[in-house]
Amino acid sequence: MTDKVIIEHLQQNKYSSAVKGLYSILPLVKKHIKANSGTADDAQDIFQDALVILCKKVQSGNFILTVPLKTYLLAIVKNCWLQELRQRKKLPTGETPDDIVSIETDEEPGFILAKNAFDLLGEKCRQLLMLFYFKQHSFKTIAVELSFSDEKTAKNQKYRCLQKAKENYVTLSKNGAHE
Amino acid sequence: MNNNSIAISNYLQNQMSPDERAAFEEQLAADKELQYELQVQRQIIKAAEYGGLKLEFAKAIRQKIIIRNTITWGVIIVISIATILLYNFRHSIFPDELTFAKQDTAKIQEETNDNQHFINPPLQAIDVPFSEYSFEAEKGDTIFHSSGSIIYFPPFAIVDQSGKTITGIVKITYREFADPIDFFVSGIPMEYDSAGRKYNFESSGMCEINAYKDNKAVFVNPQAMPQINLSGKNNSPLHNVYFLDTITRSWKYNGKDIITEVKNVVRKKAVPANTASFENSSIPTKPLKPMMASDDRQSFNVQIDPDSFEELLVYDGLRFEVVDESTYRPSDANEHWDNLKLERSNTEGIYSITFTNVRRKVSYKVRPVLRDTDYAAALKVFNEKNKAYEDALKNRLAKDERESDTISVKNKQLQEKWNADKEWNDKLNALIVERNKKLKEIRQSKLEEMEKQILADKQMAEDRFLLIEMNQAKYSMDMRLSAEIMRTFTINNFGIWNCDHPQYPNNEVPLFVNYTDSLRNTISLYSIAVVYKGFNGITQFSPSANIRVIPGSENMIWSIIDGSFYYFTYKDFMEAGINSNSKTFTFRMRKSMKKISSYNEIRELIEKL
Repeated sequence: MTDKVIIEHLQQNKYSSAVKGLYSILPLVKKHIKANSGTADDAQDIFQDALVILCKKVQSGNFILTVPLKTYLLAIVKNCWLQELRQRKKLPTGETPDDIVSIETDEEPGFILAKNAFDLLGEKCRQLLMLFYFKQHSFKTIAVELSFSDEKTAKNQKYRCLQKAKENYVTLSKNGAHE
Repeated sequence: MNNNSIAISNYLQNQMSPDERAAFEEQLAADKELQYELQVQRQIIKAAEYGGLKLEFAKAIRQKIIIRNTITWGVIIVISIATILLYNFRHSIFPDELTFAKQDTAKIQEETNDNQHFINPPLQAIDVPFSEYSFEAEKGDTIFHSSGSIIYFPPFAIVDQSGKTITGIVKITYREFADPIDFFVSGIPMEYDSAGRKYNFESSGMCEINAYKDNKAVFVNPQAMPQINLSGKNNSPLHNVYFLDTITRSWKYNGKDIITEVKNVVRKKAVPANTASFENSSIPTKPLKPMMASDDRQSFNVQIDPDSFEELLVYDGLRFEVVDESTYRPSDANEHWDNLKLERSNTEGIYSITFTNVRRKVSYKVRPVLRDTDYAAALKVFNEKNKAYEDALKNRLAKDERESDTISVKNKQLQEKWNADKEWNDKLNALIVERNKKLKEIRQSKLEEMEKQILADKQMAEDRFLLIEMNQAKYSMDMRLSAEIMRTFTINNFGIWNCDHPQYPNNEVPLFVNYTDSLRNTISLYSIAVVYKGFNGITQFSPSANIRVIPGSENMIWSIIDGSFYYFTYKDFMEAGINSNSKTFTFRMRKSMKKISSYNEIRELIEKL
């Protein structure tokens, strides 16, 4: 599958097809993560993060590819893992291994804090917010999918979950956690 | 932070009128708090979108792995089948050419080993120890494990990679994982994924069994599968059997086990097949047709006990008339009687009445009769009662007829089940009798060994220690065999098998955590395990700042760094003040005095916590 075709799949939200074209670099990802204090589980997680970042870049509209796509994705992986190591305080801020290509993830300040605040929500809350904001399902559909009695309950629940996530954000922010 | 979620949502989703929007933006420009809240909400929404997209990629990767594994195994199966066919073909053409190159199983073994990397023991050199057994594959064998479990291998239960039955000595390695300590030490994942939902496994018995011929892995013969009888204590019927598929890296549901309470193997009185009988549905007592009193016969009044003779109590003015007057003595009518006893005779409508006093006892055959108006009223009551009786009887007969077929089927099914149960119990009973005999021998030899040690050792302190140990050994063996449960299932693969109940952790909460040592220096932990008291399972986390705990109940946290055991005790957790609103926590971990060097050492250490 050519880079052009993979990019088209990502632009059209055809995630499975795009993964088919990019899956072959997973062993390289594992090798890199394991060689840098990580595990196979970490590698899977970071690979998913890298795919999300790549997808967002591709869908942003101003994406210009100057190197092979897999090289580019691997660079994102390395960058993500570097960030993760810093979060885990295993690498001092500012220290960058030589072979890491710098690719900005375009994340606004506070985004990692927001991700952590979101991860702290219960399973149902996370599902609800993902269905509403990512899948853009209606409250009526969400009520059926998550077994709420009606769409009004789903709407109220979404409001509560959002509130809870914001509270988590403020608490984490005060504790200076993982930002 | 103020509560402006709805207004901010409307603003971010362009659901405000131009006027509302302008007003909001004006407020936003002046209100720093609102600016902050807007920024936070925007980031949270981005995080939700990010989470959703990541989930999509996770699904796509999982799909890809499944497809890849299916293709890999498909190719292996096709190659295997082709090899068998080719072998058979060549063998039939060149019967003397038996040196046909066989595929080396070592390669497959390497692949299997590679796939097992997701089982990560926290201590690389320490694991739950295996026991080894061997037997002649063509004869089969019954293995009695020290835990009380029994593994039955029928003859020819083992095949090689090409599916050909193996003969000669095969080696079996077997071990059991009884509690959270074993789960932790083994590094076996105890999480079950069902349709994307994560469950914690609560185990009632887990084991790993492997077989080898000349140090090469061999396989289960699907035509003669081994049977495992796992000894345990948990008799919950909610547990299922799961096999750890190291290819797809997940637990596979494999049906239910048969649970047998060993103390009841000598079965409590078996249910006879004819237990299924007609229901004793209520039919009113058959009414007794009233009879007119004769003018010329002796009769008398008797007070009837309200709890008896239902058929007589419905009539008012009832008298009893002597049936055979030749036995009647008129003087009896004037005598004072202390006691009276009324009984039904063998003839319907005829009763026996017995009068007694200190001197005499007199009996007469009598029949109940009524006089004039009492008879007319009694006849009316009889007609009503008789109709009700006839109707009830008719319904009952019709129902009995309808049910007779069902009853017959039920009886047959019960008989079959009873026969099967009896056969099963007889078989298991025989195995357990044999097992207990072997365990008794093992125990006896251990005790004898200890006694010899006591005799050999003159130091009193050590004598006492050995005596205590000996008594403990006796006690633990006896305790293990009391109230024992056997969970029986057949296996179609060698590997890790588990009787489990997947439980959804409703009361768990996620927690962002840091760890420090006793001097409050930050430490990084790998392979973190959270153990809930009273739950025979474990929740494992790879290096992660996000773990789950159950606030308000006793949780223990275990981890290993460089061979040293770090832990947070139940008591530490209860005193930590973590509640359902807690978001972050720094665990100040305790550390073992010395590095862990054996399985027994870590077990002993944790059991003391």
